[in-house]
Amino acid sequence: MVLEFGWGPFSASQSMNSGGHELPLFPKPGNRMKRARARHKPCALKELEVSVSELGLGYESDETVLFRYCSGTCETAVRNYDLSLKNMRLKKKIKKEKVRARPCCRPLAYDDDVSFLDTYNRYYTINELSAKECGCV
Amino acid sequence: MGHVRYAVLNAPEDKILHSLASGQDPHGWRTPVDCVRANELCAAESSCSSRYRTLRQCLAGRDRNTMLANKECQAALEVLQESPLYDCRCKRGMKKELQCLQIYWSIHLGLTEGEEFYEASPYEPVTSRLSDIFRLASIFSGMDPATNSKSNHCLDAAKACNLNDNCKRLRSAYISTCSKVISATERCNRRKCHKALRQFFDRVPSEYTYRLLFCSCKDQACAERRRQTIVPSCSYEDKEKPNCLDLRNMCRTDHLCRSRLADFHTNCQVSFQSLTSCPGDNYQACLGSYAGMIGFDMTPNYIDSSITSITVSPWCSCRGSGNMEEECEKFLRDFTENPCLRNAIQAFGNGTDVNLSPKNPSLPVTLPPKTEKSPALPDDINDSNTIYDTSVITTCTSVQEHGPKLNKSKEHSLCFSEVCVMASPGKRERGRLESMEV
Repeated sequence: MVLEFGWGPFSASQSMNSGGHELPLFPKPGNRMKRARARHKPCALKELEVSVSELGLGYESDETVLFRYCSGTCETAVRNYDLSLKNMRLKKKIKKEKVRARPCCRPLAYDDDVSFLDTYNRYYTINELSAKECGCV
Repeated sequence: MGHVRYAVLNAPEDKILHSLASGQDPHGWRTPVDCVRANELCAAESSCSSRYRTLRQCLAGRDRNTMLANKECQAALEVLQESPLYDCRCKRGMKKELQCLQIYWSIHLGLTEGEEFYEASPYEPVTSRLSDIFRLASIFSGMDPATNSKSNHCLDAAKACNLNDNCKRLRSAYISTCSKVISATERCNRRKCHKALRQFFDRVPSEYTYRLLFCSCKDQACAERRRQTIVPSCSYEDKEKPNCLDLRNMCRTDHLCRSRLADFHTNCQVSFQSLTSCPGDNYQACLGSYAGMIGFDMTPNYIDSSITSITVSPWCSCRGSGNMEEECEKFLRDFTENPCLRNAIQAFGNGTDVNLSPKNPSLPVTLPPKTEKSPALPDDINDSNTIYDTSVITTCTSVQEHGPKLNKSKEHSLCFSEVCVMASPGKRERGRLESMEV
């Protein structure tokens, strides 16, 4: 038996349980469901308007930039790799190594460079500041 | 294919062809066809294309007088004055802009009386007005530019640009190019910097670029930010300051620079018939042609970060002018002491524009006649700017309240939808933006 993309019932329940929240027996759209769904939105690009100083990179500038980041869960992207890895760890076949048995939501590509003028009237350009595309990797 | 057939027909049909070619509408207003198109029309007619070829050979490497001494050249020029090539124009940032300008100057260099002080603009007249930009800018930023007087307008403009993907990308592109140090002796690659600046001003809507360039300031930090907009250490300043007339001659050897300068002289030339000192009271046209010079030899900028007096100039002086001192000063004054340009910059910064009655919307559109008259204006004209401004504003409000609004052309509504697309920097819109840039 081969589970190809983790869409099957086994992998779904497995990943849901590992996510740590209950699976309701009779799913009804209620407030609890909505809240739960809100906390577990799939991995996607989000954005924030921040000043350059707030980035904490050491630049002093009041200029505002758009900071795009990746946020959300990767439950549907669990592969047989992840399940197997997890089982290997449970069976203590993998002990001391640091492994990650869950895909995580990360930028697949970064946005173009961002240039700004700092408070001392010098121009700076920073690259790979902002995410352009997100995915579960 | 139709042109070929028409070419051999008699005079009335010829006229129809001509009016079709030059886009003359039934009301007699001539909207000029662009020179690339006019060239195609000419190429389809054997008589026109042979004369045009002759004229180009005549002009190659010769000045106007030696060219006109040749009878064949003279005849060619006379015939071409009747062709669509004669009053063709170009659009700024159009496809094949350089080719269009080359065609334009190939005819007009033969027509003009040698080295003229002011040359007519090869560009199509600007019909949109500043008020449209204000309206769009305030829609997009969600605030009235006139009300928030406390903040740093230049910083707000940078924010607005950074939040728009297209503006941010092209701004970062020119900033990183212009501030990249090459070596200890070479501060930057000026040629690349100019190119990146031209792309920014050509491809980013003026709602963004004007806000960065003409923001109004109440403190020096703001004015310094405004001065720094074009990265002057690379794009503007140089080791030496050339003579302004030498700089002009250098600019005139380049079709693009020459055209942008002619456009500036056409749209920012001090006019004594208008309230604002601008030709046709069209601030937008003046600001557009000022911005159009950025990225060329004649790149203008604020000379300092003073907040009380706004002075702009190209990087040149009148030292070493010899007996051309007067002409040099006159040339420089069109930048440094130009009430039209200054009023336009101030009006944009304050968010005020002249709203003229739409009685004749095409009035400022017609090409101002080439003038040689020197600006023999009364000395107090500069000091009375503020009075001019207030009187203008009062007139406008009354016109706005009682008169009919300016009828919006198709072009404006197009522009409007474009801004709406750019205003929301979502992923969906970005895809559309990228396809627009192609």
